[in-house]
Amino acid sequence: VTIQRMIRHAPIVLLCSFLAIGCSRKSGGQRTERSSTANVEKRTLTLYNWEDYIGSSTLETFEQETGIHVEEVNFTDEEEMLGAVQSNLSAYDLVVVSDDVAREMIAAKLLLTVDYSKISNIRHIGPQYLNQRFDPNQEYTVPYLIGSSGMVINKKYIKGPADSWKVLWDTRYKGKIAMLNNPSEVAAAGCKLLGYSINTSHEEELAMTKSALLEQRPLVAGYYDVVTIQDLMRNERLWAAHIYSGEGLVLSEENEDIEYLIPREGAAVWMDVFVMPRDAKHTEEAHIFLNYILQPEINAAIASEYWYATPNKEAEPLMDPEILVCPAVYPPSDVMARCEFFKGSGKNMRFVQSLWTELTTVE
Amino acid sequence: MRLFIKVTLLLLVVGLVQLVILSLFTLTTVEKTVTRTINSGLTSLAIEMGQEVHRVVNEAYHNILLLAQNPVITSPVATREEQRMELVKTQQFNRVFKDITLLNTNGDIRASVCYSFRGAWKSTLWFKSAIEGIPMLSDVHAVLYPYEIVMTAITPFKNSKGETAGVLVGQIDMERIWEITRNVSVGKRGEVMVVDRRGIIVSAPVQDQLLERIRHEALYHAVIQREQGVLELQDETGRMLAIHVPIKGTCEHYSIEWSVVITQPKREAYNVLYSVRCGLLISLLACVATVIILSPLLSRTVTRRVNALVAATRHLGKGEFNMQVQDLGNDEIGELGRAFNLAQDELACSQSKIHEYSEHLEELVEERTAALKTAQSELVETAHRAGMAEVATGVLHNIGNAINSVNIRLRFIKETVEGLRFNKLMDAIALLGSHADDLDHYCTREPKGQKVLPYMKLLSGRMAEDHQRISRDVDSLEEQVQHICNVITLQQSYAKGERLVREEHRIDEILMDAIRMHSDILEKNGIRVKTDFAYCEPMLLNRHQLIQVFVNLIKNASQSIESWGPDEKAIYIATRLIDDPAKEHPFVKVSIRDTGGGFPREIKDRIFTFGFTTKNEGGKGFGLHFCATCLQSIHGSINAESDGPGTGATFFVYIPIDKAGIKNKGHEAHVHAQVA
Repeated sequence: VTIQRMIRHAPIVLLCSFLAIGCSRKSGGQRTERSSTANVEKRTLTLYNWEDYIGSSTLETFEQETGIHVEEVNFTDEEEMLGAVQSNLSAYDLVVVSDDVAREMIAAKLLLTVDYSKISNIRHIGPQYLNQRFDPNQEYTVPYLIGSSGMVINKKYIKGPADSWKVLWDTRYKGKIAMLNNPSEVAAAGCKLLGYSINTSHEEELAMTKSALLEQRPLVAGYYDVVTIQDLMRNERLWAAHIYSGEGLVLSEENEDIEYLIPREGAAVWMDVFVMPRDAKHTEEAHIFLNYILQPEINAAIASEYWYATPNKEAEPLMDPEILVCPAVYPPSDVMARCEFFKGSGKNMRFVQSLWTELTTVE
Repeated sequence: MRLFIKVTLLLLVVGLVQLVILSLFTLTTVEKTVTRTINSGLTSLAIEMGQEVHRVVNEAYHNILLLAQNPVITSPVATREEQRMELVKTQQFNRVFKDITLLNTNGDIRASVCYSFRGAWKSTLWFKSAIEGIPMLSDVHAVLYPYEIVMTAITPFKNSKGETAGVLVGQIDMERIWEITRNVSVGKRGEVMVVDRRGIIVSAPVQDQLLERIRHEALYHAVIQREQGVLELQDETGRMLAIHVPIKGTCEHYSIEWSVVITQPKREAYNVLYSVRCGLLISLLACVATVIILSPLLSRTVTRRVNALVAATRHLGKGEFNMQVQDLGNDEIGELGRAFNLAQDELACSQSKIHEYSEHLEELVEERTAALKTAQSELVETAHRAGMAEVATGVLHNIGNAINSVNIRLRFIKETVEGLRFNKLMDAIALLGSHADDLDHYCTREPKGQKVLPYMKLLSGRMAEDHQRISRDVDSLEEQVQHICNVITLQQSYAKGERLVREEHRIDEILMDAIRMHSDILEKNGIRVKTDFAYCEPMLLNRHQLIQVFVNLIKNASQSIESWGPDEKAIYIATRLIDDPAKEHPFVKVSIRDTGGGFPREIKDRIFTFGFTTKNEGGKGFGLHFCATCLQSIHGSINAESDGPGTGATFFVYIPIDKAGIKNKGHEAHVHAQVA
């Protein structure tokens, strides 16, 4: 998080934090229920999360209010997270994962069910974000933030029209472009480039996508995690890159030459959710935290800080208006029509797995 | 209740109780044995299965360790494709692994058979352990696309310099373990599962159960604590039996810490037991039916002959002696019947004799009646005489007591009178008469004459004393005579059945009168009387009656002292009030203790009976009997204590205090005055 960005959003974050603390200390009649655990003894909770993906003061205010200390452990990509969680299901109490990864973890029986009776603030989540295909019975996940996987370009180096995925296949920029190290996201970018659905299972389309990505392979500087891509874009070693919307918009805020955009072919959109690994040790504290994080004021502060859309309908009015009107955060309907959520059919996923192996194990 | 029913019930009860006890005992014993055998069998099966599972896991794990020593794998110059082909070859040869992956020291995939693992190997705990040189075996987990359940075995491998060159990962196919589970058949509905240390099912007949936590809490806790045992669980389908046995055996770097769990519906598991129960029940029912059928038959056999005896006895009761009992058999009832027949014959014989006697019976009765009447008359006469004798004895005894005193008193009077100095007075008078002429001279000048007048003065004084003594003795005599009169009057009152006149007296005064009436004897024998009267209130009493009682007791005491001759000759007389709320009236307790010979303890209860005496001679055995009778008539009582010969005796007299009587004393005295 850059100093510039922090200064820019400091008033909003502080306002929302004070508001949250203030509300939590008032008695009944509040619009939002607070955790009734102010007197809880010193307890801990381990949160496994993306780097820079929780409000800069959220954990501190949570500890002040509930007495529960949150130890945050960061991962830089979901593959790292999946490896760590699968091999040690008791290491973390809460994990932030994308919707499709959550579906995979549910299928692999890696998750605990959530007791929604302990999370009264779940009611603030818009109904369209609940009972989704990745958790059809709303048993395992708690919605957090929404974003897209688009493209960031440095207009200083990328001349001319640059609203297509083709920029990342442009041989002129060989070695100056990078892709995310997320197999599904990379495959989705390939599909969208060719005008296919990111969830396609047509053999021909899948073969064409593979071909396109193998073709791109020599052009990319690498398949990097999002933080690395951010750094490389900042020091201009990369001119264009595959990136998540929040990180892309943060870069664009820092450097006016850099622009985040959803290519005109469309992109993958996703919703990050909280899940509890099956052998989590502090499930009670995890529920308290989830209830806390769903408070509109808290959620609005985080979404504003990191330029993400929120599924929390009560949080939106409390967010920075600039973000609310930003088309990269809240894409207009015509853009949204070209965007897709991952649906993870078996065939597609097998393709993604083998493709990723091929892309990453080429000598 | 008829004998038939009684005998039938008896046979039924005896038969059925035995049957029930036998059945319960058999059932309990069989149930324990069968249950133990079945549980033991299932446990053995689970142990055997666990050994097989462990063998398979161990084999797979060692295959990975073996592969890690393959020169192609460890070669720094081998290409990725060469290494991948080696992995594919091993996977196809062993068929134990779903996937084998070779990682470099950064955790990047160098070669893989299927590339099936989703996630970064470098962030896994397994890789971190292996890169530190520790091979390990993961928990069972799922990999997706395709969905597979595997267990990851991971080991580092070294290059020729002995440095860690990479990590080899094998994802063990669980199919072989599931096959072991499937091959074990436990009845129709029995299930065999393998559960890991977290209570997660890793092998089960139904795929959906895999990677789920075991449902039953009790079983879950038993498994995670790695206990071996048998549990009974309540399932939606009924009672379930669950055998849980930890898999034993460890390897150098891992311990799978799994348990084999066998569940089976209890009904099915203990089916043999239910068969045994059914068999027992059928046997029991058959036995019960037999008992129910046989009991009345047996009862009838017995009662038929008993009824024949009863009928014969009834005839006998009617005086018919010709009813012989037939068909008696050879058992005890038969013996009884024969004895009955014999007795009947003897009775017939006796009856004829009785008949003869009955003809002379009236004469005999008249004779006996006359004799009885005579005996009765004699008895009445004797009783009358005895009564008269007792009355007479009483009167004479008490009069005798009084007359004794009279005699002694008369003797005193006689001695006093004999000792009167009349002759000396006469001599003095004669001396003065001889000097009548010069009486003045003689009395004043003559030395002898001078002594006459003082002598006479002294003499007159002595005579006055004698007179007083005589008067006192005469008074005493009068009192004794009066006492005799009272004795006679008292006896007459008894004889007529009149109520005795009670007047207000103090018990201490009555006691002093009794002592005084006996004082001559006491003085004569040198016996001291010491009194301690704590109760001196007026009471309604018949004075003469009580005086007789106390005179008798004092006399007995003095006689006892006189005959024993102790050093200390004393009689201690005391009175005490006994006011016990439990009693209807308060009592005055009079104790008369002597220092005489006492009496043996064993005669304590007999000394108040008529005619009983301990005196060597002169005793009539009436005095104490009189006292007891007297006190009984006024609702009082008497008892005596002695610690044996030579220890003296104490008599306790209890006299009730009639308070109400005292209040009405004036009225009562008036009534008695009228009666008198």
